Amino acid sequence: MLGKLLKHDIKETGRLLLPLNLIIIVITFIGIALGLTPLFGSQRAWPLLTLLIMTYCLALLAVSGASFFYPIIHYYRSIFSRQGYLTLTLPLSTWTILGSKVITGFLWYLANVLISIFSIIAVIAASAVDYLTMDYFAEFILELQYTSYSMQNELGMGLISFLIITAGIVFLSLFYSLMMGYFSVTVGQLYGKHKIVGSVLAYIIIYFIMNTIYTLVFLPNLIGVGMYMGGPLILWVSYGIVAGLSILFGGGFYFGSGIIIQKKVNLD
Amino acid sequence: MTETLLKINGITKYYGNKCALNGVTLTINKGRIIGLLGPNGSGKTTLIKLVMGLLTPDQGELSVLGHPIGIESKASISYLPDRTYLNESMRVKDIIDYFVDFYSDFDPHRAYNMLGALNINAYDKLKTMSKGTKEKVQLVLVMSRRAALYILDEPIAGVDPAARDYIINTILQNYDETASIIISTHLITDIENILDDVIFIKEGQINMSCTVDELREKEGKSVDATFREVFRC
Repeated sequence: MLGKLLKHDIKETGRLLLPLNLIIIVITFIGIALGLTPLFGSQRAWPLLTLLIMTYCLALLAVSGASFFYPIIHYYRSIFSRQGYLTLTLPLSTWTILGSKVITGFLWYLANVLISIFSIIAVIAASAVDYLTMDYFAEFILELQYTSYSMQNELGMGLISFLIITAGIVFLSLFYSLMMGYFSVTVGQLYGKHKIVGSVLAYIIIYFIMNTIYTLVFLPNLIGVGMYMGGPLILWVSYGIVAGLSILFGGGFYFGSGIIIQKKVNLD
Repeated sequence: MTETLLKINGITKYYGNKCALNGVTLTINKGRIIGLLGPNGSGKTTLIKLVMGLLTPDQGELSVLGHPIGIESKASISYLPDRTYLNESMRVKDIIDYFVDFYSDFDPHRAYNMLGALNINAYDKLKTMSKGTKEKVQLVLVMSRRAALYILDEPIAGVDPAARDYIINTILQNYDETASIIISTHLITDIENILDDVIFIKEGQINMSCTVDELREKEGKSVDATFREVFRC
């Protein structure tokens, strides 16, 4: 049943998010095409280039914003608005319904991050194509090998391992951000008649509290490690804190949302 | 032998300090059409929401075919809320696919037949339809299930008399006779003739629960006349 609900949730959110992410891919190809023209080498074209780059950045930001908020809006609509009368009376557990929303939101967050990274790298690479000779590539590969070797000595792991761990931290942070949004919307449903305002207020308050907790956990640890142990350990301590807090609070928001839906929510 | 379909035992529900239902106890047997009757704010919708698992009781227990409220109970009940609740950006066909995915007792052929009889195009989006047509689509979906219990919350409120007749006929023609139907309404005259049982609910408590024949014999009046007397302002 989770698979079926997931199919419908992805289809529903995809009505907006799929075309938006496709627009980014199209813009990326336009950027690549422009990067391959002599336009980037001409000083007279700078005003036009500035405008194009600004438009590109704004498009990336707009799609990222939509990818962040739309799964949260979908979560609100499908569970707490009139559509909740259908969703919450399906023969499914609350955890299946919530799980489907989490996976759907997470997939869109991930898709947006990957498409944005691909887009930025592709546009930069295309604009620097004149410099990308075989010699440059050989030099670049050597540089990567050297960086990986240095990292192995300093961090105890090579570049690829480091990138995999960093990607894991990014995944956990995405999960945490999504759950904070879902939890805020869920808490907002307890605010009587002003549920949307309640959700926004809940988000601001939870955001402030979480930032305070992160600061209180980060600062003493980083100062302590920096003063007495120093070096690469700061990075691992930072990663450890982000991972630990993301799992702890992301999980807490997930279970909190489920319990509130089960015990407290009353659809208007 | 009568078989119990829905059992409600000592249910109490508060909204803050306000008591919406107070110690409600009821039993609904198979094969009955029951009118859940009461004025606005009497607790009808709260009781239905509790049966559907949309609310959690503060006290008491509910069970459907022996199962507590949960996945099994929801699979046995076909529910029509008192509002349009479907995603309006979807086509009727998409909503039928949705019901097919989640309700093993949903009969898509029956749904398409009913839509055809009503001249409703399954490829139309809900947002392009009038309020009355949307309500008909919802009723078609609900009555296309072969559920053990149908709960219809105000199915005839806000529609014209011709549509009311159609809705009542649709209900009667499409339910399995071993199933039961609970119809919540205050438009009693329109449904009085199809009811087997009545439940009067007043200020969160069951005021009367009996068969229509018993009520007529005891009170010497129609259900509608008794309702007007019991709930006189």
